Amino acid sequence: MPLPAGLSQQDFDGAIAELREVVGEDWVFTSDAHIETYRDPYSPLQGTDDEPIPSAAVAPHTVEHVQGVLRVANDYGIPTWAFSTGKNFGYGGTETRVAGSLIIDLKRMNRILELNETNATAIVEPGVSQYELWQEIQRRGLRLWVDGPSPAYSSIVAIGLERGVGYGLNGDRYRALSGLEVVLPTGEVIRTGMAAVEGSGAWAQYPYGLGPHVQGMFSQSNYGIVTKVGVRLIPHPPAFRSSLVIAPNNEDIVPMIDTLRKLRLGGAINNAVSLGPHVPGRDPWAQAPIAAPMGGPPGAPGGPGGPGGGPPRLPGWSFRLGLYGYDRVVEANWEEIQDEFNAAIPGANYETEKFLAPYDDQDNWESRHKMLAGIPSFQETPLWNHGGAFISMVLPFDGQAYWEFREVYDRVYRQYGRRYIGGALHNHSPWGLIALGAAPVVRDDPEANARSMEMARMLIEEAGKLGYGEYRAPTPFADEAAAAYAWNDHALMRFFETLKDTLDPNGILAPGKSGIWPSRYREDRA
Amino acid sequence: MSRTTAIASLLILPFAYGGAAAQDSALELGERIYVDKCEYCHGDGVQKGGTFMLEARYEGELPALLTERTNLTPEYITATLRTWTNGMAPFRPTEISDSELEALVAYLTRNNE
Repeated sequence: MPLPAGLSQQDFDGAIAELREVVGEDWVFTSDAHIETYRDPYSPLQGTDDEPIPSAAVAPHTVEHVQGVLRVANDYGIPTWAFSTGKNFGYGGTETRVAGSLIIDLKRMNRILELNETNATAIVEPGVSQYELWQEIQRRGLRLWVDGPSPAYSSIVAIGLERGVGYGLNGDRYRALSGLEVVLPTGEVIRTGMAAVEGSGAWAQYPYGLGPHVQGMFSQSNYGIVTKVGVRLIPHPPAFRSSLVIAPNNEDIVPMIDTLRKLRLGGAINNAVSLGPHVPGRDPWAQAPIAAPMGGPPGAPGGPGGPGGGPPRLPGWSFRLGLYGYDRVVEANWEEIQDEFNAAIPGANYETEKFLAPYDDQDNWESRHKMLAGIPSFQETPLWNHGGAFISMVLPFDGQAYWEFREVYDRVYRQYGRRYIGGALHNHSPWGLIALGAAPVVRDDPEANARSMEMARMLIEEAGKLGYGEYRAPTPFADEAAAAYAWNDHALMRFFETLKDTLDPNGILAPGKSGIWPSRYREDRA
Repeated sequence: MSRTTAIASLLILPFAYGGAAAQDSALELGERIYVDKCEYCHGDGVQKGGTFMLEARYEGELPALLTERTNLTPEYITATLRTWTNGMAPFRPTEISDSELEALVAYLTRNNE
């Protein structure tokens, strides 16, 4: 495995010995077999000289261990990369930006420190997965739902800090976080929001506290290692209705988005909605078809487009919405929602099911209802031999904007022998739309993956010309994604870099994360 | 070190010399790990992606449920857990440690002929 740049074998061995003193002999991993598990199986860089393979991994169990690991990293100038738990498929896995990095694997920090049914909150460490939290909720018999993405082995903390999506009421995962404990790169520990008040009972309820709201600084960043987080959960509502809205024509996506916007802004629909091409019998979650090989007859996914050669014509679109609350209110809302879609989309149709508390049979629900309620599910668990890197753009919540965006993405895909189908459109807040694209990654085919990376860069560039930027970047594309946020000659990045250099003077924590490089790397890269 | 050598170096014969008590305890630990970390995908019933995929792959020639298999080898189980194999992402040593992996191997090979 590669050593960190500039470090001799002797110094590296010294660092490893010190790390073993910090966390114990069993929790520093240097063998090839172990390091193999810290490579991203879906990296487009896999098997190339550019793949940044780690030098070692270390697994702290306490905050003091994290401080000790960072002390060693600072002393030796070793780049590190913290990872909580889960897989982070499509966004980089545990992949780093710098070869020879030390992975800080936080899985052993998996304590559930507080679980409060009355307030519907928890305080957890980063190694806690949705599934583990759910198991504990079940064990205690609490009437709470979690929400979050599927597959459920994802970290509650990380999916929030990466500003990922769920599908229910807390689908905007960042907004479900409240109060962080953070170990700064220099080893100092801070708490944010109400967590900074000794004995506060509102740690996991009120995220702001007093003064600047710095919680966000530790999302998608390399400014600290988050070791505790307050998280909001969902109390069981009296009634829950889960409905699939189906639009029967290709062009219906425009009024579908515009009607959804009206209902989201008006408060009739409150869950994080995912729209996608309608596939009968399947829900449009993250695994909705994004692209298809070019070819086939009219109507086939990769077949000819509409008049003028536009994107593939799809046999309709769909999304699933959840309604939560008092039964009569849920039913009244559902009537209004159908009226709105019937008026906007001729032939709109629906599949719907209602559940009433207590939800004693919730374990037996179909996954599509579980995901909407916030019951961790493994429905979307990827079981692919090949994968991809998501290139996910933030669009205005506007049907026509998406229509035009599809044409631009499809034009790029066609240059690479594919068609853009549409993938999932996430709407985890009422104020924007996230359109998923993906660069395919083929196992053991570096040439195909190089073409894929070229396509990804072109998608980012072309979307940038429309004024769009990514909401979250796969690790290998972080620089390209960050470059889109260029207003006033990249003033925002200069601000990020100022913070980085102040908080992490030796530049040891996740250099290059979100395109933020510490000064010592900026000089080398200039 | 090649990947094959790396995998082989992880293998430890599962409790071949540990006596009946050690064998029982390894099986119990292995079963617990299986229930905690494998069954959500490889269990019985609907919504189990791993079982679904294996049903499609074997078309009845082999059991789709791993607990009913009698021909899984330690090498195969280890390679599947530690490398990207058959579409399943690897488990890191903090998710399933080497000693837990040994116990899991003992459990999944308990019915081997």
